Amino acid sequence: MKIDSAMLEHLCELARLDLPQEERGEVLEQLGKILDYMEILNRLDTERVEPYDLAAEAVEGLRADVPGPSMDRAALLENAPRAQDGAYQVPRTVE
Amino acid sequence: MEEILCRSALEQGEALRRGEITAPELLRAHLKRIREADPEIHAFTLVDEAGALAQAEAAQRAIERGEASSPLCGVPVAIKDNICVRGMETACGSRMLEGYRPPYDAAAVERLRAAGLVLLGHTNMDEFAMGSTTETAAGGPTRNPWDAARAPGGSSGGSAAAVSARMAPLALGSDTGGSIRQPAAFCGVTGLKPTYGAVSRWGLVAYASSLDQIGPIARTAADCAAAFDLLCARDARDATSRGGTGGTLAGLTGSAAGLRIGIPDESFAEGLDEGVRARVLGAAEIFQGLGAQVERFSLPVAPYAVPAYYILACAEASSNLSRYDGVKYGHRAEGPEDIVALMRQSRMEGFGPEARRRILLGTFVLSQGYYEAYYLKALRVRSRIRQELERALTRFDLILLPAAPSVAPRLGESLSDPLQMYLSDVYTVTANLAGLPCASFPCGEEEQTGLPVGAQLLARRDEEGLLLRAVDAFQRHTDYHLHRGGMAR
Repeated sequence: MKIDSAMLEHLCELARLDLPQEERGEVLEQLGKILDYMEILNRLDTERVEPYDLAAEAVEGLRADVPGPSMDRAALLENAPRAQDGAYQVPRTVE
Repeated sequence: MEEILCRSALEQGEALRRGEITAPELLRAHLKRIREADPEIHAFTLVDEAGALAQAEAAQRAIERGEASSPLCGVPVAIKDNICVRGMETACGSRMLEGYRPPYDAAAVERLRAAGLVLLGHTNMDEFAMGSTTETAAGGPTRNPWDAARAPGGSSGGSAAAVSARMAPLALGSDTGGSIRQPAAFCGVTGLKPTYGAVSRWGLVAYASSLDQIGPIARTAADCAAAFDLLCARDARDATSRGGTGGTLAGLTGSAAGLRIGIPDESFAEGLDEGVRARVLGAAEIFQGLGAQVERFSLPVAPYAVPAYYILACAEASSNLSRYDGVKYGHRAEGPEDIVALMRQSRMEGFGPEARRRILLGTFVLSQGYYEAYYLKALRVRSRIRQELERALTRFDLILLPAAPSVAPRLGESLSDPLQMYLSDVYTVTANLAGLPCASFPCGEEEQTGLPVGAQLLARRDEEGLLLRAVDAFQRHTDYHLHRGGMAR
């Protein structure tokens, strides 16, 4: 599987991740090489196998819907790069 | 080096209870060793002298009152930099989390504190645990105490190096695809990846949540058992945590007699260094000498574990790491004036090349048009691997295999070719995909380099007791785990 530069730009958009222009060539080549290697999975017959179910690992599913104390807001905001009036600060999103 | 530093964690705990040494004295001996050795090794990203001293004094008071809360009360422990410690920078080896001080302790840390252990500080790691050499760490690599020109393995390279160099008798690591067991092997120490769900992941910075598990790195299987008994517990804050049976330490009888040990042909085939093969097969002979039955068998799914693992781990990583948006915590780019640009630039600046690569790969395998061919296929392969391992473990009690295809690589050797680095995880990822407990332990040195070789034993779900009993029996009859080289001497 080859990833071309249009596909890479699409992935960057989906992942909200910029890539420096000078790194793109190398990333394209490395991803292509890794995906080529992953082709060997097609040699293994999985026709009659169900996909592994991640949710089955959860012990009791959802916990009881009982309110409890949340973490302290001020303590959480101490790690925010920018906060104001008890809230995260972001660039204007609505004109 | 002071003699006490060379004792195991349990022996140090016993010396404290017997009054041979006090907890603050034991701590000071370790801090002195860190000041001597760590400028070269760089196992620690942070040492919390003041906090540790307060904990050591509290532990000493408890010991003097006869109220030591565990066999490891007063014993120092180092914590991997992706396990949250309240108020202590937990940067996960990444520029993204530089300066992040969690407002809470991870569940594993809570349990260690309650047992009276003394938290030394945080240990170096590959960025977001993505790497097999600790070279992707934002603050620079850790060096292998056996040979400073070599990598300690990864991603828990700092934890393994700290234990190997006698800077800590015990450390916590995390293991998503081998990140406890492979560095333990490269540094000549013992590491345990518990059964998935045995130890709460609450407060472990998430990489691949269906594979991640916290576990101990120590110098003996008995120490790993003591630590595991403290760590394993059901925790409502992690829906996948089931706890475990515990009582592991008390079950170490010293006997491996009658155990049925399987050796998969595929794990000793092409790609394994001759010197490593010789040592791991030597371990098989030792187990035979201890009365175990050792038999070869075929595990045809083994070669599919690495590609399935990287698809699943990257997919989960791309989802887990989406939380780093430059807003709630972590790095925020200066300049961008719209929210999407802020996220894109913050993430580019905050993540290093390996984290970016895995996010993009994970985004690809989950994207429309490729999801079935890659992600769903890998989940089916994961089911087959689990089924085949579970079937093998009806015939055998344990499966023996190498921890890595070679000894520790030279620094700088692995970064240029990511695929080659991924392939080196060939013997460790299987245990994570199947959720099974697996330990790695030293089984001698490779002849040409004199560097330690690790063997792994893999067991059935929740059979840490049987697993560590076998490794402990091995260590009671051999002294490979006491060997030291280079700066570890």
